[in-house]
Amino acid sequence: MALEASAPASRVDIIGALRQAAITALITFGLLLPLIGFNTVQNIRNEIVLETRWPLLAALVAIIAAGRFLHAILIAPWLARRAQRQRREDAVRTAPRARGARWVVPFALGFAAVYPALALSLAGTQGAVKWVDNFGVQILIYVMLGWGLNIVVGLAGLLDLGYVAFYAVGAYSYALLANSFGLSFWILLPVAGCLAAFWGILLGFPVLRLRGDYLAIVTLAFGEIIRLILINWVPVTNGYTGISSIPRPTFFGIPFNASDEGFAARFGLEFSPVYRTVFLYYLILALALVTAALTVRLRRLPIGRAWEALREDEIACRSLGINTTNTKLTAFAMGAMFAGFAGSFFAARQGFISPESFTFMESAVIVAIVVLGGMGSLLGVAIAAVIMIGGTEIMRELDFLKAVFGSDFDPTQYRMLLFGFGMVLIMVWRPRGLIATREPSTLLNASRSSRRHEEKAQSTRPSLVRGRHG
Amino acid sequence: MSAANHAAATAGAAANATAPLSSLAPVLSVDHLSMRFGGLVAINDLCFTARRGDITALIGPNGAGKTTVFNCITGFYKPSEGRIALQFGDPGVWEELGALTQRGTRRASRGDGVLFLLERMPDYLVTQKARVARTFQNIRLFQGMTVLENLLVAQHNPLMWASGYTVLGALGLPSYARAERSAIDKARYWLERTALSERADDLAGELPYGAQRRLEIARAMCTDPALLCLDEPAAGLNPSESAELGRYSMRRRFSSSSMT
Ligand SMILES: Nc1ncnc2c1ncn2[C@@H]1O[C@H](COP(=O)(O)OP(=O)(O)O)[C@@H](O)[C@H]1O
Ligand SMILES: [Mg+2]
Repeated sequence: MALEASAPASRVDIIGALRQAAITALITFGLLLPLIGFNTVQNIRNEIVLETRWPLLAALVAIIAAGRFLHAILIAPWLARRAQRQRREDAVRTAPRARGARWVVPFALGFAAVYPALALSLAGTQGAVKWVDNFGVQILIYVMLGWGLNIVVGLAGLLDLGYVAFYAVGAYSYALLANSFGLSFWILLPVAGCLAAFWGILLGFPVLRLRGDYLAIVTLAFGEIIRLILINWVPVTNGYTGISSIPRPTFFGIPFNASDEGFAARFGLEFSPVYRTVFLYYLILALALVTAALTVRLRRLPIGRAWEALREDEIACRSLGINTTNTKLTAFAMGAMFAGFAGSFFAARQGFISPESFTFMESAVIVAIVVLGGMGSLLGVAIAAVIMIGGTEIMRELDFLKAVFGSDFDPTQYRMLLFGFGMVLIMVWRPRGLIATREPSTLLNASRSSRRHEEKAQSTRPSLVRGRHG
Repeated sequence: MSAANHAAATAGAAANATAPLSSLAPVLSVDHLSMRFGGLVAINDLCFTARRGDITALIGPNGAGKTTVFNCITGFYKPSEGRIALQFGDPGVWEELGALTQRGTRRASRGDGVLFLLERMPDYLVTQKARVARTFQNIRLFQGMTVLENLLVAQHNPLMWASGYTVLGALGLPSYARAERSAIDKARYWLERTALSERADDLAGELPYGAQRRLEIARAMCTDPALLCLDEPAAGLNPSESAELGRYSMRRRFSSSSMT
């Protein structure tokens, strides 16, 4: 009875909505009366006079009341319906999406492989540089960083807000060692990775006992410390000025320049900067794929399972004889190592680095990519990186907006606003990230399990992102 | 409160009424164990032994300190006072107890007998080296992982060794694949004994409460324990589930076990 009565009421409850709107209007009026309604200004004789702004106040109250009314009659019922549907969908989620993912991965890999050729044929040799570099390389750097951080945050459950520090260590390692010792990119790539891993362990030690928010704060501080060292240790790092003329990577010894020894001349091509860009693209693609392959591999090994177990319950891990100290340190070291690889690639690609590139914003973007993508999901992280970094780059291209909003309108300034908005939306729609399903690392009976997934209709699945134990 | 402590202590001391299954030598000996939290005395001078093959029960009212005793045995708490000795292999090694206590180290051996002083070991080594396994009063499973994965995590240390601390495993050497297969076989064995085979690939958090309790026991057994500490294994189960649990534990004949 009660249910039947409330169901139609919740659909079009105009009276209730009007009452809500009236209450909201009253509250708004009370709040804004002193804030907006009255204004003090100084007149010519430096006297303070009280002005009233009734029209403005009335307009604001009306807007807010109207918004509340619309929310009550349109948005709230829609949200409720959606939540209900979500609850039903949650139960049957695993199977279809997993099947979809099987197609997405080969398709995405194929697309990534032919992307430079596509850009070259569509945009021509000149235009392709922008598309391959700004979109391809830039996105892939963040895909790789996201996959690296995914080991720390997504698998081991250690919220690391200072990840960019290891990226910086990798970049500066390459820049300094290449400039002072003249070593090649291919030697310094593993060296930079090892140095970053070393710093990962060094950071890991003091924060081992911390979890959750406390860990996040300390790692954030660590990221800032590294940045401040880079700024202030001027004799070595050159401070704010940064390091320039960093050697660019060579095609296995053949430089990409206009000389007779250069890549274009050797291969009988006309010189163009696009060859280097395409080479860099495939380089970062390979590095990112190595990261992914290693992650997939490690997840099936005891260390990967221990990371995930650590994320689920640290105390239970210790009761099973797992050395949680070492387990956490390996997670930190692994994640840092991939950031180090990405960092040295970044330095080699830019040819110039400065502390500007390693601010907290970068860490925040990488963490956002991992969280939005779905902690632990490689595909989700990659999609999130494409959306977030690709979205930023697209915004640079939206010149037509200048025609609408005036010539000093810069869409990239609204980047953070849009990120925040997108983040809120995703957290409302998919609190566990874009891809929240987790592939088990082993199955006892693979054939039976597919049947089992069909049966999941009845059972619900617990959230992977749960409150952590202090 | 001291009355409650007394209850726990005497219950522990009197608990060895069950007939021994193998030998009379104790596997665990707890002497003068005390645990204070600030001014609160949770355990006061507790002495008891548990013999191999026995089921030793530690009973007492709520707040008597049973969980605290388990936390001391498994290294989660450092006791304020007292000694917790665990032995396996040749019982002759018990004669080393005095010398070991004096020496200040954690391990003594004689022949194939090994003696550990658990209060000197960090929690994960108590399980890894002294082979003590435990369950928790509030079940602590890896809820987002499958039942099988829970049992494989329990075999972390032997698998780590087999995977050459990840390096050899990452290279895909066949020796690791073999080790993992045998780990899965062991998991399958315990899944059968706890009637969980059907649900091996389901998430642990999806299981009903009774099955979660059984899984936690299976997980503890996968660590190859010499001593199994079950904290309130029957809590929250209905009588038929309790009876079922009792049957499992009887059938399994742990080398030794403690129950609250
Ligand atoms: N970590 C702790 N800090 C402070 N007091 C504790 C702690 N652990 C247990 N206690 C106290 O020790 C006493 C015994 O608790 P517990 O061992 O859980 O009892 P039981 O398991 O027999 O019900 C209780 O009074 C409890 O409040
Ligand atoms: Mg208890």
